[in-house]
Amino acid sequence: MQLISCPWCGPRVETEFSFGGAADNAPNEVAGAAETELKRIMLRPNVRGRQSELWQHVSGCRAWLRVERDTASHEIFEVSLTGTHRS
Amino acid sequence: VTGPFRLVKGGLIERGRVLQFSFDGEELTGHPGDTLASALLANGVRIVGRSFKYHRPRGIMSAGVEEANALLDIGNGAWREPNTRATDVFLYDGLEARSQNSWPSLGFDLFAVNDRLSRLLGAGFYYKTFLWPPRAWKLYEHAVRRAAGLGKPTRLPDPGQYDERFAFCDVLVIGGGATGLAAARSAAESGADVMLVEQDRDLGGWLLTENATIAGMPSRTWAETTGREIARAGVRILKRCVAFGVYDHGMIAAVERRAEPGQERQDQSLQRLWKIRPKRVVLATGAFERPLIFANNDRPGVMLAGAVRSYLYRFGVAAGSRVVVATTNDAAWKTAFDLASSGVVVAGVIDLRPSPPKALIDQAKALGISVSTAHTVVAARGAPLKSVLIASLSDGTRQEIACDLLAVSGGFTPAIHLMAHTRAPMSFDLKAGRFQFSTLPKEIVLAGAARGLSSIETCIEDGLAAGGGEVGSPCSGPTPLAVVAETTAIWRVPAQLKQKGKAFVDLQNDVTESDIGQAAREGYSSIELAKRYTTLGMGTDQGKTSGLLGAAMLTEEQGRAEIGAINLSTIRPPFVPITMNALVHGRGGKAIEPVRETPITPALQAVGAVFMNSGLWQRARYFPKTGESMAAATAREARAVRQSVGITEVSTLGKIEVAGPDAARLLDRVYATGVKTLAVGRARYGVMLREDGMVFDDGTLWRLADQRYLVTASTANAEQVTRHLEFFRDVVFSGNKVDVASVTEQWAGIAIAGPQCRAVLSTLLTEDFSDGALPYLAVRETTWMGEACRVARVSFSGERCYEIYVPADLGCKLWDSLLAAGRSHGIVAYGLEALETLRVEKGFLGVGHEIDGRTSPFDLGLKRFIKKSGFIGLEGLQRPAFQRGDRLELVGLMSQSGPITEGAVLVTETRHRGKPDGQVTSVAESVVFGRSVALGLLKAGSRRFGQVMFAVDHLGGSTPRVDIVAPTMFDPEGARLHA
Repeated sequence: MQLISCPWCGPRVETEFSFGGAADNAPNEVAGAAETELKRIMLRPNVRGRQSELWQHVSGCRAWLRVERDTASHEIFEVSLTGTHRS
Repeated sequence: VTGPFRLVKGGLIERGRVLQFSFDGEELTGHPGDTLASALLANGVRIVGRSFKYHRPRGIMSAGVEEANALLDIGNGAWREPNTRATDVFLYDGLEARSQNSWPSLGFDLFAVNDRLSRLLGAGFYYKTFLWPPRAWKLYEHAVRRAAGLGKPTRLPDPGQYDERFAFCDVLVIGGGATGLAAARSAAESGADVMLVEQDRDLGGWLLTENATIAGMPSRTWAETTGREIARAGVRILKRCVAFGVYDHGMIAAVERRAEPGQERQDQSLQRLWKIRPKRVVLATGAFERPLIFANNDRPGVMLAGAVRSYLYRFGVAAGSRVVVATTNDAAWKTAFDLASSGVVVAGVIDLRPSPPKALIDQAKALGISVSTAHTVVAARGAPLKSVLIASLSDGTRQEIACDLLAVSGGFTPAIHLMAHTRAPMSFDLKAGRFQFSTLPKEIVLAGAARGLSSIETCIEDGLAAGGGEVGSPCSGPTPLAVVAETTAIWRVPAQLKQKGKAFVDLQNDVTESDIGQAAREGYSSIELAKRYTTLGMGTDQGKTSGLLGAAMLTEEQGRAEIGAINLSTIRPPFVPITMNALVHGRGGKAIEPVRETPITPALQAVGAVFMNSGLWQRARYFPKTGESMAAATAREARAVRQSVGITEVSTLGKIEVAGPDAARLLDRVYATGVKTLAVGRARYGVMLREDGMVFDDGTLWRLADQRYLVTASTANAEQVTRHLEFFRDVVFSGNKVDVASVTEQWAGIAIAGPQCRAVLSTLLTEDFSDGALPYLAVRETTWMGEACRVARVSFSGERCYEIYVPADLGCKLWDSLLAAGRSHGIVAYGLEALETLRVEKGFLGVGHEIDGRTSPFDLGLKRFIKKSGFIGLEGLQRPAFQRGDRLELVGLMSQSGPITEGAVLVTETRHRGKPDGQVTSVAESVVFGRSVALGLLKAGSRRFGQVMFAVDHLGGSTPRVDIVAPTMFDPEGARLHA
């Protein structure tokens, strides 16, 4: 079972978190051209190896976190806060 | 002395106490310290079961968790545990054991005919024989399942308790033998926080079966003393605890047996699941002895040589009275010597090596044991064993030796299972006789016999080195795996010496040498495929003694042996079979998930609500009067709302506040419906889409203040919508000034609906609720009982309705006050059933019904609410498939003949063929129309109003004729909402 070090709460088991996909797949504040957006939505890379991901600490502080993780070995390299939590 | 095969002295058993147990109804005795297997052997029980496929008689073949034959059914009633290894059960008073897979009895098994028919039952017979005709499998299955298989599980609920613990440590040592004890000692001496788990009841591992001397004391005394010393030094020792898996980020899962299989213990948990997070792991898991492959090598009386010693030294049992030892290595010679010293007749030592160490031969001579070098066993005879046939490797000369026990040793396979769980790439080097890992994890190290070492001294040394090192640092570097000191890693009888009879590789699944050959000939080149085809290693023993043998044979049969490396099939957790309940650790029944009660639950109970699950929530379904059925109560409640007034609880709706200067921008992006033009003090219907354009959820948006909104979400989606908004806050709109907070649990909500609801509300709140002051879709923040109170004029029933929210702890009071205030108007409480009826009549959408993840807003007739641009889901909606005009669209259905069933299919003829045109998504027995009405999704439905179809329920057999109508069946003009 993976341990994710939440910057607010410390190392916690993965069952406290909820996966939010690869960070690159998240929409932007302002939508781009329809074609670009459709590509982003429908054609998602399925990376084997290191990937930047979004996880939410749903059973904890509820912050959405950016997690640098290897999708094959599950090794976690870095966990950082997103957005409003950074300030 | 309990049993004819119990030696007069020796063994770690309490000879002073006698335990009663039974096997297949026969009353037997043993001692505390015995395993079931040792007690059976002491009593001279040789045949303990019938094999999986051929129903051949089988005896105990090992003394540990690798046991493949002696799987017994233990205990009674609900406490019964089938498929339990006799070698892994410690004897207790009153233990009841039964043999498995024999019918009608162990001695006479009708299915033993399978052994004669085996030419028809080779590898893959299942797939070939029963393929044709496809329908016939139904007929075969019952018979096949009865003939093949192991124990039968009890169908009663498990009365036992199970629990769970979490643990953390610097160093976790798995295995409490010589290596593990040494590792734990040096780790503790270095100041580390150490845990040690041992699957056995006693520490020592192989030391318990040895008469060796360590540091001037008997090896078993050394084990006991060291155990005491390390415990004093702070090592946490868990006995009877088997580490069964290595999981992500180095988590080790282990199960501690706190009672023996079948033991009826109410006072404590039977098993405890441990989830251990060590910084470093030492795998001192030892090695499994390998059997030899020859004709009829499965006969009761053929046993691993190490097991024979174990029974001799640990349990004071002679596993036979006249023994032949057949080996490929030095270790088994000790078995012969120890047996002879204990007075058991050793009829010969057969070593396939031409020149074993001279010291061994000399010692054998001194003990009067005849030795045959460059010989091998080629066949076993008798069941139970009566003699073995041996042959010279040089000239093929054969000789028969009478014996009732054959102790075999084909070398040792390190128990690398837990290392394999880390997915470290692994193969077996045939020439060197060792496992090879191309990379090893930093935090886990193999030590002692688990990495191929054999002598006690080297194991202890290795353990000390593996356990030491700086605390908190990774392993001092996985030392290269040692070569197993053997002349040959794998052994089977050469072709020219082969005898007639089955030579088993996998005893538990009855996989023979010829099955492996057949798989190779039929082109199963990969061990993963050959394994599935032959079922090699797929039993509950997971091929502990057979996996490597089978893989090596496959390599050999394919002529690839010269490559030198064998690929093994993937080894996965669990290391031993685990009781499912140990994993669930008692979180069954009521504890399977939490129950959410609303703040108004007590008030609902007081007026006789019948509750139902709605997600985790308990919600009122209906409020029956004495003797009233659900249908009658629902009709009465719904009618009251249409005619006068009713109240229902809506606290479970998701309520999320979104506030800040950028709140409107965020909501405008998230909702496909308009946000920006919403005025302060007004509410509006809102729809959220997924990125692919499908409807995600619907609800209402309230603008409480210039920069402050409250949005509601369906009960089912409340959490997902909250997460969605938090995602937009943190990720998409990061850097903007907006915050999101769920206030679902802060507010209790009640909807009051019906033509007379305003009159009732006015007696409670002094505000002006005239249509001018609070028109449809207006919101008012006020106070009630001195606390904040929010009133919104929204409706889910099509009637005039106010949703009233007060702080959660005022919920019950509000409920009671509304009931009291409405008494003169004939107010009723209505539940989910009536709510559903009202919703369906009005054509409103239900999550999980019409909003099923496959419907777009266009399909659901929401086009007029959808903005032109700037929202999530826009691009998905623009895909061509949404524009084709043949999608399933929302329609209303009114029955001409009897009730419509939810899930029924919509067709033009009752005897239809092929794909139906649509399906029924929600149904209601309408109070206003006096017949069954429904909502459905129908192909091009919006253009088919006025048609007549059938709503066919294939399960229930009903085929009502239905009119296709517009979804808003009741009050399409909305006059009652505004009135």
